Amino acid sequence: MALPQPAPVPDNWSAQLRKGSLDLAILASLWKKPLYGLEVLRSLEDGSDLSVAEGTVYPILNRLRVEGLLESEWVDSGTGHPRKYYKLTDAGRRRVKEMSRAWAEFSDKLNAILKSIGMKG
Amino acid sequence: MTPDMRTADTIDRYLLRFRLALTGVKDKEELVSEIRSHIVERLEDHTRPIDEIVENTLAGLGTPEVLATRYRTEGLLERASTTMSPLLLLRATMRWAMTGIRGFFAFWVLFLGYFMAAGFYVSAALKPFLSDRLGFWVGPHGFGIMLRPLGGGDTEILGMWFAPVTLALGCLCIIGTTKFVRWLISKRRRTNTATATA
Repeated sequence: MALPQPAPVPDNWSAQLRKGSLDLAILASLWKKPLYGLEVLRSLEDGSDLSVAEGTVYPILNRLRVEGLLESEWVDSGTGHPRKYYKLTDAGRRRVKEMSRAWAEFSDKLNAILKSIGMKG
Repeated sequence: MTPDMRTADTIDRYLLRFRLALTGVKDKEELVSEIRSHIVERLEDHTRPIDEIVENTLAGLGTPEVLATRYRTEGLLERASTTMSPLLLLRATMRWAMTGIRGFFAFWVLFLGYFMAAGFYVSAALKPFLSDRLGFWVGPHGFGIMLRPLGGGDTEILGMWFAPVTLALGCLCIIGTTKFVRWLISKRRRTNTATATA
């Protein structure tokens, strides 16, 4: 008799997880210094496994700016074209702290569950 | 046409379509400039053929219409999360419904809630003309609001209070539905509103 196969992880589960954390990831990438859009993308790619489509980041940056969490400024790049830099506002910094705390709490609870069933060392 | 001219033409056509698709969006020119700046920035990578860079960059951005829709969705939901305007909420949830199951759910909740409210308002307005047929009927087979069943034997219990009660129920439907959908939208914003990731 064939053994039952383990259920595969739904394709959209990890995608939903990434989506849910994208606001925090984008805001956090701006914590240390102002960045322009492409630098935000590279920061997400280099600092994590968050591979994000270019067409996703810019509308989110724009919304976060409209929400007052980011400020933007055009700066001449010195190579002949200007770049739009984003930086966190005070409200944006507060939001990053709140979101980080919530994320850490959630992550701890989930890890505790996984540990209790021996899925995590 | 040289490769450089062809590249410039491709980018110009993309940005023109993007500008057209953004019609009515706030800060349209600034958004176009930012996307132009992004494409130019990508072109500074001299390790790959320029045609390949342009093709990959534009593919990453999505078609101009899809990209503009993302800006519109983000903007609409931002405004909708604080509005009491049923029209704005309907527009926002319709657009959201196109991006996933939660948006679809929000749209139908909104639609059904407003539809019920409209039913209550119409009943209140028609009561003077159908005073013996419209009401809150209680009978041996249960109870019901609106038109009296043809079977008869039911009693109308609200009388002159039918119109005020249905108007109040209509208001409750509107307020309750609006607040619930606004909560759904703000929940979506808190947990991020990306419409696509690679």
